[in-house]
Amino acid sequence: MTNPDLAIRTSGLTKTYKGVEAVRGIDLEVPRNTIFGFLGPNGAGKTTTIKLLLGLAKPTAGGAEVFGQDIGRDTLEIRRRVGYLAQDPRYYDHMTARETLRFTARFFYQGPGEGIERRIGETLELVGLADKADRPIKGFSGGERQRLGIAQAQINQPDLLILDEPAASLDPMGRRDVLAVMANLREHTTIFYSTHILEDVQRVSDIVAIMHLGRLIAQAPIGELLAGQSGEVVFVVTLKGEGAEAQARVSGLPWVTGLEEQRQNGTAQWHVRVSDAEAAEHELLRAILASERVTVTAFGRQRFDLEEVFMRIVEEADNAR
Amino acid sequence: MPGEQALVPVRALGWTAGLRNMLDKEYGTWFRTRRWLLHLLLWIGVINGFLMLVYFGDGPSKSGHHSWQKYSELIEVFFRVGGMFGGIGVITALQGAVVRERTMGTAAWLLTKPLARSAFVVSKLVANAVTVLFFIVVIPTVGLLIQARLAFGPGYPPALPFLAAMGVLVVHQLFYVAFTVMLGTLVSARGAVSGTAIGFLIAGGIVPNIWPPVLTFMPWGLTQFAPGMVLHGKMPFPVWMPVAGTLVLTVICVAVAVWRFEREEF
Repeated sequence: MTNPDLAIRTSGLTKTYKGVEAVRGIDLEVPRNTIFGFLGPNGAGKTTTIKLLLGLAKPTAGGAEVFGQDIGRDTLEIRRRVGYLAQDPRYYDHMTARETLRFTARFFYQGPGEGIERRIGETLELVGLADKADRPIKGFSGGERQRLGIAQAQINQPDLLILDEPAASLDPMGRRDVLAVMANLREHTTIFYSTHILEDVQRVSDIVAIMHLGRLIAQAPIGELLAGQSGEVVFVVTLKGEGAEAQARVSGLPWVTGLEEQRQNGTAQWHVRVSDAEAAEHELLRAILASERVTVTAFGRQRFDLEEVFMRIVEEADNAR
Repeated sequence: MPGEQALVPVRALGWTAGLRNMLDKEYGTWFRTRRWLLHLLLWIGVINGFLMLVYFGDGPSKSGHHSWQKYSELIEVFFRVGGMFGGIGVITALQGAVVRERTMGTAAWLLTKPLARSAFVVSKLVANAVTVLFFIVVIPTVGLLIQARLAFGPGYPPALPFLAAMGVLVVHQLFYVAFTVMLGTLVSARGAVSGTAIGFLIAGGIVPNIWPPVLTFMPWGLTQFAPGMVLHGKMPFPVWMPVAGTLVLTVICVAVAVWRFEREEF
């Protein structure tokens, strides 16, 4: 059943190349008007998934819909509504940036010429290439090519922008620019982008999916992912004093599933795993402070670094194999 | 913005989606670069240059008029050189038309736009056929007509037989356009495309010696028979046989190219 709130929905999407499963039955849901980070190490199957969505390859099994349209049957209609930036974008070197955008725009619009030129001008401004618009792209740097790539992907003002490793080949300035362009576009479009640069994901994504060895091993809003996985929440408490009494009380609470203590220079840090985050937010600190022998200097839910989360999820997936 | 006209979307769907834009781009690779000038000079130089060598080969005629034998030689050489070197020219010019786009990644880029795969192949066939026929057939033919009329007077070569023979030459070159584009969808190296196509062209000088009937349905006989049409107006067998055979092969090549490219994965 088609869900109008979804830009992309895959069900059991599978792609096999000569007996090797590059994508293994993934079920992905990308809500509209989100920035969706598609993470995974090299060879995880991210680019293959994107190629399947765009009709550049055909699924071996399963299927997918983009805006409710079938990727096999309605590929031309889908491509009218999508903008795509390849991982290593290639254009015609004899063309200038303006000519490249004009050529791209003509796949979508038949006229009027004046309107198309205006759209090209606006898009060049958006990506900061207006001053290089009439130079052959043969001499463009990697960053300039990437910005041209975003421009050609955006020329039809698509409902869905698919970016394959948009910042991978860029220096920090180039990466910052690309992320800024993505942030500017989020109001009008859904952005589905693959990357292995976790820092970028943490900065701009609303939802994250993690691919590993062709499987989708996690999909969640970024906040949820950083706060902890699979319903397990960890609270970090830093305290001074004699904590044995408090520790016994906390360990006895029904929603506490574990407590680890680390001591350093007279200060203790507890990692309290809980199964009910709401109850813990309400009662945990009170339970600790019921003991007059301790002073709490810091209390809060543990925020994971995305890299930590990513590594843990990937390792868990490896162990489960 | 007030007064701004909305952009009008392209409506074409199905197999022609994106064809017009691709044709414009393909013509642009010839005429918006210096490629056209290179081919213009090359084919005038090769084909009409060869004719000049034949014409002035044994020195100027004392009577001011050349013999029938010289005229025959000129016509023979035009079709032989036009067929063999022209065929090699077609193959060389088009060897990368599809392969380069596939290996460079530009084909994959284009196919993320609303472009039908069949339109991609058809644009390569149409734009390149029109362009190479113009440079390799039309321009040298105009040169031949000027040379022949200056040397042998008006009426040489006779219009109708010459036009018919030109049609045969066009069919020959069209086959090599379709054959080369088809090979470009099947293999992944330019060398393999040009090697196979040139090998096939050269085989036309060998295979008919082993099995002569092959000339009645393959493109190899076309440039051998064309001079006879102009000079004698007669053929060893109906000319439509190799023409029809070549046209059938051309259609097969186009069908295979479209079929294969529809199944290409990037």
